[in-house]
Amino acid sequence: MEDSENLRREIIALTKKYYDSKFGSRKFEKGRDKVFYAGRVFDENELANLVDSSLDFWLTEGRYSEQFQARLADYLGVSDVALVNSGSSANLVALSALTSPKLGSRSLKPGDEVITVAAAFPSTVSPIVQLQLVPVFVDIELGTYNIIRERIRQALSPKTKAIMLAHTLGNPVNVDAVMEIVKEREIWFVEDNCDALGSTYDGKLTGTFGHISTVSFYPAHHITTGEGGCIATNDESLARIAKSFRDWGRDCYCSGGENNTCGRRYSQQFGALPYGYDHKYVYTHIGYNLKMTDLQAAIGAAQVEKLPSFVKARKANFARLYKGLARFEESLILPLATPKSDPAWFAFPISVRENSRFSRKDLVSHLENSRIETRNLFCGNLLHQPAFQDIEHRVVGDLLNTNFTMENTFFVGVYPGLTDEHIDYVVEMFEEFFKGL
Amino acid sequence: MAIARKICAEVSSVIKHSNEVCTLILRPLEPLPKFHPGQFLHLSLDPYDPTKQWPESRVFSIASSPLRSGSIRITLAVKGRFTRKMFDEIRYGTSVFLKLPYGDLSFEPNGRDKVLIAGGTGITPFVSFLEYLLDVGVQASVKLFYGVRSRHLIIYDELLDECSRKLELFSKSVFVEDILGDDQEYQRGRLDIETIFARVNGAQSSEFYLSGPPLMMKSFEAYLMAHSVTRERIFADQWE
Repeated sequence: MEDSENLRREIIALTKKYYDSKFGSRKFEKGRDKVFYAGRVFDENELANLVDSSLDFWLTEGRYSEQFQARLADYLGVSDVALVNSGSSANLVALSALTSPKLGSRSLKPGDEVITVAAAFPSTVSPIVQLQLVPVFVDIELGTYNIIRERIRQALSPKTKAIMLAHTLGNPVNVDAVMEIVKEREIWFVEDNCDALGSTYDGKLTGTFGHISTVSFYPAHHITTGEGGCIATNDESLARIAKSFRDWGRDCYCSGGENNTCGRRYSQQFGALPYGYDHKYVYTHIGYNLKMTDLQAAIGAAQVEKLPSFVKARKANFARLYKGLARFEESLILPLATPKSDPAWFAFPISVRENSRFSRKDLVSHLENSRIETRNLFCGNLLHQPAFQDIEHRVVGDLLNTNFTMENTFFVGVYPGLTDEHIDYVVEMFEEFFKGL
Repeated sequence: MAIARKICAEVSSVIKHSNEVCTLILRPLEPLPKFHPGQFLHLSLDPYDPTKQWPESRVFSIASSPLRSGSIRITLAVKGRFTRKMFDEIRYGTSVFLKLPYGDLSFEPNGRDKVLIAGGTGITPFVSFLEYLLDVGVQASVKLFYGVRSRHLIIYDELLDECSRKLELFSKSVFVEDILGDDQEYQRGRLDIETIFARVNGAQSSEFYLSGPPLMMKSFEAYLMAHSVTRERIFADQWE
């Protein structure tokens, strides 16, 4: 029988060969190849890691999970990262963690208010509703598509206990404005960093300002594990609570296959359980099972090494596209980076100005017919979505800009899989559209 | 608790204090993860293969400052088969595997006055804290009460002396069971919570940290609670 390690090496070598054959690059053909708004960008290393992990057949969190989460923590400069099975799960875990009785008087309780925006991806707001908290919607600015800073203070009430905001399409929210209120009112800041891994505000990475932050590794995002996400925090107690919510609500923090990591497996008192009840089966929260598999983490471990180059590529694609589209500013609202920020753009948002000679539909149809993929700004106004129409909520002032984006805003891609040729083609198709008006 | 990491380390020094107690200084062969004074690690003598389960290990308090990351120190007392094997077989250059950090015990250098009560090798988590205080300074009073059976079982005495010299708000009282009478340095007898409590000014508002034999910790904790020290201000370094 051949040595299993030799066989593994052969399989990995063949996998790399397979990558070249199956996924090797080919030249972009205008009008024939689609210009996606996002997509997986990978090389033979992701495939090799995935196969390597499959040969371990460890399946649940294992060596690759440890490696991936450690690299992410190092990248963000935080003490804790916990991997989950999606960015949406990360948001659910992050907000659930703040409901823990272990936080005493600071824990969120049903009826407490959470300031957010309605121009959002649903899973930024869904956990607020699911946890019986009350979302308080504030309008957004056009251009940055982030919360209007002056209105955050207006949204405060005695029931305000948290602010939960996403950095829209990678563009950081005005962190100074948020943190001023967070500190002053001693409320929580849940930083939805799902679309912004690698963005900075005032020279500091987003995802490191909030008490807890979240990242998505869905294929459209800055790095991917297929499905996947993580929470990140510098608060070690919060990290432990979040992991508990992720892991069925259990108190034990042993990794898979480990026992008695705490050294007190049979010598603690919990609730009304008999003294010394096996810590492995002690539940201090009503939790979920939202863990990532080691196969996913194996992909992530290769992806995270590419993150700096991905961020650079996103910025370069954004800059090239911006330069190409600047001449159409009379008709289009082009994206505006939040002051003090340097976004790792998720995408390139564009709004058709009021009273233009054309509609969003006209422009988007032209682009889609030219095989350029577009997307709306997520939900538009979330309160117009069937599932959210009847939720308990509060609106601060009006949501005029949110409604405007619902009617007039869309985005195109700047992801690292796009080359200068792709970007130039997109600009060309905008030119063609405007010439045809 | 920060993310636990698994690393290989090499023994760079073995200091035998008695036939059953020794201190190991370990040199990490990979970057040492961040930890807090008071936390502990798992040590395995068997090689760790990341594709397999973590091998048999035991927990040890980290007995060095987190700011001195070039090495990490633990002290072990022989209590069973595993620690006997460690005591007998570990030499200079032996490779071991560590995973760390773990544990909820932590110390805030400032804030309330602190009373540290250590029985025997229970001194180790406090050593990490005290060495850390030497690195960062302290604005709160720290009183250490340390009890051992025999004089030769006093460990880390040089570090404790250094703390006495350099930390203005630090004081130590060392109790030795088998000396004949009090001398300048040590006091005769066992650690006694009643005596300790009487010697602490403002005991009710101080934080008490307990580390040592389980029975000692249990009885001391009960005494403190019966004397109006709330549970929130009693911290015990416990494991099986």
